[in-house]
Amino acid sequence: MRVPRRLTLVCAALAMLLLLAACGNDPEASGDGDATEPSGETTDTTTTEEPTSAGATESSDSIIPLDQVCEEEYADVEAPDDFSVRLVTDIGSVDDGTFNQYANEGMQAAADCFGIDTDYIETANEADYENNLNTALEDDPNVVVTVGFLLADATKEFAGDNPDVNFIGVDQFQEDYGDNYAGVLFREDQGGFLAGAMAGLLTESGTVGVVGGREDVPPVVRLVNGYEMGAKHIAEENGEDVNVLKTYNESFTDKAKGRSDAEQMLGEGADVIFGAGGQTGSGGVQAAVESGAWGIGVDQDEYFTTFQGGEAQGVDKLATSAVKRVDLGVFENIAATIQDRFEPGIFTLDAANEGITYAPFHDADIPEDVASKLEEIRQGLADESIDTGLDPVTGLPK
Amino acid sequence: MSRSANRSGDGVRRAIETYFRLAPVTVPIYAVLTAVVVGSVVILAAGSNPIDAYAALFRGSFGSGAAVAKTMARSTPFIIASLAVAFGFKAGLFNIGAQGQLLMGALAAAWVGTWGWVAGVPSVIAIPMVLLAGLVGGLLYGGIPGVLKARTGAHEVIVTIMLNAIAARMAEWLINSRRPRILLDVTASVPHTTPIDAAARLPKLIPGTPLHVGFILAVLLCVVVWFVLQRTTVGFEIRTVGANPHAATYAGMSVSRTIILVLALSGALAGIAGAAEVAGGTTGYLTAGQFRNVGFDSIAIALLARANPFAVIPAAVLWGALLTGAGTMQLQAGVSSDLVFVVQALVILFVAADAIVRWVFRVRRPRDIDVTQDGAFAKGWGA
Repeated sequence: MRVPRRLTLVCAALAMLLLLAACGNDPEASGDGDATEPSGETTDTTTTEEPTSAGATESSDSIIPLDQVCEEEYADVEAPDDFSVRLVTDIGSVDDGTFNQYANEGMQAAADCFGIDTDYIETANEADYENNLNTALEDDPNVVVTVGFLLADATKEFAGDNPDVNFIGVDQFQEDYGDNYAGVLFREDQGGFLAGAMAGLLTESGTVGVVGGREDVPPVVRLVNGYEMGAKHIAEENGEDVNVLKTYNESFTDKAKGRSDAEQMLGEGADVIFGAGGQTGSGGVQAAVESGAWGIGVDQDEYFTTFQGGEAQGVDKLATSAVKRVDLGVFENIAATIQDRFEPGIFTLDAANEGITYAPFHDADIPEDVASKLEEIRQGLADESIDTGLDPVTGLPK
Repeated sequence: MSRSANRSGDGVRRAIETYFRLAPVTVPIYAVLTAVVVGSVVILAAGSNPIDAYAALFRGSFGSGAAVAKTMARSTPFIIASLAVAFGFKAGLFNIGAQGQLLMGALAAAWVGTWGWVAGVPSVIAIPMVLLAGLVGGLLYGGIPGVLKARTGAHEVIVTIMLNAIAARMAEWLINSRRPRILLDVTASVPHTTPIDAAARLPKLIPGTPLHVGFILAVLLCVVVWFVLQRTTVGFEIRTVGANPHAATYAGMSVSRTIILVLALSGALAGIAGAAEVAGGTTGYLTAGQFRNVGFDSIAIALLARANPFAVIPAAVLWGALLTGAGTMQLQAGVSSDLVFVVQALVILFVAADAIVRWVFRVRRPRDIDVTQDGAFAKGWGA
């Protein structure tokens, strides 16, 4: 009796481990796969800082680091003594290489610039959004930052209940924001346009591809259609034709699907792939660069995230990334609150206010004329002499 | 039960274990303690102070009346869903499908709660209707693996895992689909179902906190399940099938009928867990990701509770407390909230591999254990 029972227990333990491992592979259960994460906590501050500082040393004109913004625009601004900011992430962590990390970098930059007290809560589960907002508010902060579209409902509710606190919601669109809530939104169509222009400038085959995320998420549609318009803009100028291959995907976290999409496009002759769908898109970019085609990243400078600061294979073919300056949006709204000029409603980041731009080329060998043409297009978007031809909300052709 | 209790009067121990069935508690309690100790090594390795971290975790989950209410509210779905899993264990069935059954129950409740005429009836009718919808949704979805196992021998573990995937995708479609619109509230910025009618909402136990009547319901369901298992003929049949299906057959019990019954009722419980959250939550609607991992965590909680219908309450509250206090721990002690998952994983590990805990704390394996109490644990679930 004793031995068999013990055996069955060990078997049960093993089975449980297998089961949990299986659950961890479920792309939906992204929150529970990080059981080993806390060991990374010691290096947390260094890893979070790295992209900003490295970005600062290597920066081209395109990405203005926040410490420079601080020096240039807020040199004599001082925050009240007890001013504090709390940030609640979407599912993920502040070093996960997504907008969670980027928003936190914006808050940290504000902490360095204004000497304010900041802290964050990482959300592990959708059921915890309200709980985490509650916990964040227990500290009586002046500003609460919530990251991501999925927190829009909870943020709106808490903004209504806490009129003395300013809420900054990244990627959160509302019909009506109230007096203490700003939604940070982006002109992704311009970002996609920049990526498309880059693709149009680099392609030799005349075929370029984009691996998109979910079609029912408007920013993705804006990126994908913007990409097509950008590539066509260059082709028209040169009197050529360009073939743009597009796919959408059900998931933002399915690297394998992104890879297979990209491989399909490469097989059809594409020689530039833009990844416009979180990790799914990054998978496409990786597949492209590993087989010698060009890749273009999105949201953050993927040189530091997907390509681990240049460690990953094929990084010399990562042409650039279409960057959404989430950090700038968070920073500017915190600064506005400190200076008592906070404006509720939609805070749009676009090429004009440096919120939409392209990342430095890093290890990629980009010809001088391509670089100057891309910068010309960015400035054209910024001064509105170039139009993406898309509706800035739906991302569909006007 | 500690070591000293083992040494003291054998009769007293036997009496306690017989009447209060406390013997199974020893190992889980030590398992939790061991997990906390190993967890503090992890915190130390991460460069923080474990005492600060656990103190903040405790403050966040039990430090004030509001915190206790939040913890209890967070525990409510875990109590009911792990009760569902525990109920399956008693018949030797490993119901991995609580996640899917819970979603089906929640979907059914979210649908029934928006029926036009529900708005016209008083809460005494509307609330039971919504809960009943959840029960039926879970019952039917739990019945599928039951029938498949009883009729074809298809293993419930495999079938329920696959049904979970189907339920998750189905929920995404039913909730997020715009054309055709099914359950989606088209005015919502974040896709969710239309909120159920106010008449069908579970009242709050303490106004201003998330704690709702579902908690009382959960405790009552534990009593009902205990009563059914221990005081009824059906319960005896279930336990006998769990202990030894061959003996049960020999004694004239229908094993296949019991399997269908248990998996269907287990599904019904999970369905109620989903429905109670939809009806009791502050928003009254369902999002596709709302129940992420609740069903899976419930398996772990049922294991920690050793499938005892009363022990699932403290085990689920432990789970809810860890999740509720995680944010406070991160803010006040600077320890990543992921630590609570490390502790949870360690608890599961030490409960499942109880040989480690028994060896460390020198807990004797209980003698002449009542096999009908141990269900899946005695038999193993692969059989």
